[in-house]
Amino acid sequence: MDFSTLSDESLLALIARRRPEALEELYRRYSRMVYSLAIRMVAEPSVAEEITLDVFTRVWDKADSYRASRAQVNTWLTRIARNHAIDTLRRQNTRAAHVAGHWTDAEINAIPAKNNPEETTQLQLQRARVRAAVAQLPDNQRQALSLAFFGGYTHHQIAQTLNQPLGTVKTRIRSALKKLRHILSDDE
Amino acid sequence: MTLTHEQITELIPAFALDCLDDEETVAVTEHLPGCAACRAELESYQSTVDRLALAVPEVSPPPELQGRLMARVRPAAPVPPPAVPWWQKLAAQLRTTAPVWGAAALLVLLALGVSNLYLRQQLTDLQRPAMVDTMRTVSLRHTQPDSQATGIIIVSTDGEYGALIVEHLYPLPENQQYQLWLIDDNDTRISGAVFSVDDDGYRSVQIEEAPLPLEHYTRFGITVEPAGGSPGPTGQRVLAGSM
Repeated sequence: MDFSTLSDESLLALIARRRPEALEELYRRYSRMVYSLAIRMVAEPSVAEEITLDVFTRVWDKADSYRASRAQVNTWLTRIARNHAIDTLRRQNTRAAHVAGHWTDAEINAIPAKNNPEETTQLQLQRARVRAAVAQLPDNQRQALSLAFFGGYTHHQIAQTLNQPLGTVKTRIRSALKKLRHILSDDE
Repeated sequence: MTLTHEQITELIPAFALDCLDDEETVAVTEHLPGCAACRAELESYQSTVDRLALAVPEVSPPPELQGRLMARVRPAAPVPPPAVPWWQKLAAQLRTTAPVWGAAALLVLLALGVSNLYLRQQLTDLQRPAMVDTMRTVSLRHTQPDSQATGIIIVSTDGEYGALIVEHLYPLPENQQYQLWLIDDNDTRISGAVFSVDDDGYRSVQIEEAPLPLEHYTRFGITVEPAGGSPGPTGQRVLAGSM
């Protein structure tokens, strides 16, 4: 069987049947995405590697819990990765220094990598759309969102970090997500 | 903390982002089971949050990470049953057909111990050992340069019956099978068996189709034929040997 031709959902079905080749193919497709998110959040490569390993180990153990109706496979993986990274950050009570800044223009304007042959055109388009949506946010909203999304900070912690009133931070984050939801829903 | 539906609704985006403080998190969590509208709202925002990860600049993990992952999960993967050596497979087969083989089967079993040694020496240069003077064996050698295939034919002491054992033959598609040809001094070719091999390229078969005692035939060949066999050899020859 040529696993490279199978859909993500089919790979998960085979992983649930304990086929290591299916896990290898899923890793080949999405390890870069998972690792990228992990290292952006925790900064330390060894910790990001452990998070990546844990994500795919969990997929191996819990593939039968995936429901295609609730999330795409790639977003399901990143949700697992982010939750794992937030747990790590909160447990260690440390944050990567770069998280204290915000989602930089360099990041959101980055051109999706063309040198990743495993990445589908559809995924590249999704990346471009999300970056374009983030770029439309006001700078102060993007900053608060970045601290919450990458740093795992709570409202109170963000307010302290930015030295802003709590209500202001809540409004910025709520407004940012509402705007992103609106922009991205138009793309669907 | 008791909050109204409107207040909870305002917290849903932050709940999806997991940045609420503990008391607010508890309030939203307790509200959700009884409020379909808030559950739908949460699902919508959760999808938005999930997609934010796609905007992250890409970084490749170290190449060795995949090996670490597979080392972690493979012990949990189903372990295939240990490969059964060919002589054990044949012995099991002979046990089930002992009434047919009678005394010849017992002698063939005796010969297995010796022939095993031959195959362990890759069946390249079979020499009949003194202890099996009463048995005849024929080694079959591959005829393709890139092949690892080997085979042996064991002929019973009375020259009537025989068994064929092959290893390392390529498994064929369903519409093809291997066919053993028995060749006499007149170059007449008679089908001795039609068979397929398992995933290891192994198969043991009894040679039952010969109209004459096996000792009548002096050469043997195995070809690839359509499933079910052919009246005469038509496909590629993969193994050959002579008495």
